[in-house]
Amino acid sequence: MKHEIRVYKVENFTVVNVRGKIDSTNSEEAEIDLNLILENDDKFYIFDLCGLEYISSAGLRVFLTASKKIKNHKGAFVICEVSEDIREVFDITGLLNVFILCGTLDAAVEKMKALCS
Amino acid sequence: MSKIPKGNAIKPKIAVVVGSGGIKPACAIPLFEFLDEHGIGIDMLIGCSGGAIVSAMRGFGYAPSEMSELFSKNLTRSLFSSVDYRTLLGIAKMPLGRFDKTRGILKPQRLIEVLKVIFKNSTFDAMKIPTLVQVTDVDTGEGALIDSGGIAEAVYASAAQFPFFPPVSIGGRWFVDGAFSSPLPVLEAVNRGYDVIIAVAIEQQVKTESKSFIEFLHQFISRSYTSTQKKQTALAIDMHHHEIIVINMHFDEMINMWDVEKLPDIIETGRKIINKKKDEIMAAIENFRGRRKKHE
Repeated sequence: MKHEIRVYKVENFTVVNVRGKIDSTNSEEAEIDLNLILENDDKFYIFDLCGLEYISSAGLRVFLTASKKIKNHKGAFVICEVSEDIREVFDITGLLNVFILCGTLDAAVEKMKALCS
Repeated sequence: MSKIPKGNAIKPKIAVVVGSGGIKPACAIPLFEFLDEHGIGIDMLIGCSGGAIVSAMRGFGYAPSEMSELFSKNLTRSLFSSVDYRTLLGIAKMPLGRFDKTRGILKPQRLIEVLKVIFKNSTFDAMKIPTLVQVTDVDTGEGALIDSGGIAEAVYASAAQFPFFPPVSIGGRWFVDGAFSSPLPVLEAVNRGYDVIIAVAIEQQVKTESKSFIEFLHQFISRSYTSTQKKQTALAIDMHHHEIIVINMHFDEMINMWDVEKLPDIIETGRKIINKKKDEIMAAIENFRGRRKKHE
């Protein structure tokens, strides 16, 4: 499986669930998919990465690009449900300092409420 | 695992970056074994501090087995025990003491001599693979890369952890440890347009309390380098166009530059971590071809 993206709502926040793997073979497609999602009027997003098995630097760049788009629209996003392996990738690449990571979807919703208030 | 065929028209440009970490960057030796075994050529090497020694050895043409041997044979405790008492007195503002930017707590001559033996007194023109050495300008704090002149002097500068080791003058500028400005110079590889960048990062996280001032200072400096390294790596990923494979070599015990008896363990740690990263490296190279074909 390459990647699969599902979108749903939790308490008015758009949750983007990304599964599978993202590397240089599918990062362009993943970016196009995310761009389509970010084109709606929402400003606040939760990226639920449960089911994301692997991410390379090209995949990380997809999230960095999404992050810039969201911030350009004065929005915010948090990432949640990250596996230990993926968390380690975020850590060694310095992206733990760039993204807000929450353990669970519930924690991400609470964080997002705090960011919106 | 397949070998990468030679002469492929869409071979990615590959850079290997080896970060700072005293003797620990020797853990990158199994990476070179793996690349050799699979016929993967390196287009550029960039090293910082201890990583500059490893990168320059590889660039100079030493085989992985020779690199291990050179480390064991040449890096002895005596290289790091020749105290410059006049500098020490100078730091304490004692009579007969002298301190200025050209001096360090340790005398560097023996280390420079050993590096001259390893690199046979050669200049960068003798490098088999283009190699860049990261240093820091002691007057400006800015990073710089050396790719000309004497290899031993450049490698010494890259590893000269001030104030322990004194800066060295190269081309009219005074240089010290490259880790002060860029402990893992991935951005330099990105700026030069390399497609696949394999970056060996050294992380030392010692859980026990420091037993001495020097140990505490080393641990603090090491943590500070790691922090700088992560920020620069994040920026490099954002700026890059293909794949950066960061290989995080994690050590949870204090290993000093002179702990050559730990070399087999360091290399074994490297081998285990490289084994886990092999598929990722191969995929990044293969995917570049696929990506290029798709865009053609």
